[in-house]
Amino acid sequence: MTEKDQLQQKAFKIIAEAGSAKSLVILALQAAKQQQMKEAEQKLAEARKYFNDAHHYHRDLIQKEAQGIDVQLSLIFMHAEDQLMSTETIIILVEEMIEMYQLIHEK
Amino acid sequence: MKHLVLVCAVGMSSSMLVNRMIRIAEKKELEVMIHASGMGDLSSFTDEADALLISPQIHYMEEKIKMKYPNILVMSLSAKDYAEMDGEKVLMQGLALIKD
Repeated sequence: MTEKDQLQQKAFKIIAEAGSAKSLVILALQAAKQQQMKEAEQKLAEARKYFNDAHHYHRDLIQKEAQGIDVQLSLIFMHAEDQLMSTETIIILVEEMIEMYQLIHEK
Repeated sequence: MKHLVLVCAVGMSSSMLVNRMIRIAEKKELEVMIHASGMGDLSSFTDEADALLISPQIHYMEEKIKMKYPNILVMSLSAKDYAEMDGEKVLMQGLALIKD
């Protein structure tokens, strides 16, 4: 496998894992809206797990670059980083929004 | 001819997987048409598609898609299969879905 193929494969792993995290975190928010707080918490925990896995692939590449090994950039890899970033933002916001739903439901 | 559409958020990652699926289909001489689509341009495929395969990043939209297109088969792809970019496995899953 060429280096380009390897990087493409890592990008795909990041997209799939971060993508799953994104889907789960939105399902968590929808569950919280329906007052299913336990399910929301479960989905959120699952989302965090997927996100951490995606993050590990990314961290490995960053460390490689820090060691002076050139990592060849490609559009698909940038797309993977984009997915990673947007998922991180969504997770942070959804955590807050679930707490908001909890406050609303308690009223 | 059977028509599969792989759907992801913007159609970028799905198009790479679709390329692999097309290569496998050609090698096996399968009569199947495969396209990649983002959520935005999905409606341009839904008149002809037999099945929609949903990528992990839009799993949360599966129910909405099913409701919007009740006449098309819809299946979510697992994060594992998607991450591995296994064109053959995804193609076979799509064809099995149409056959059932």
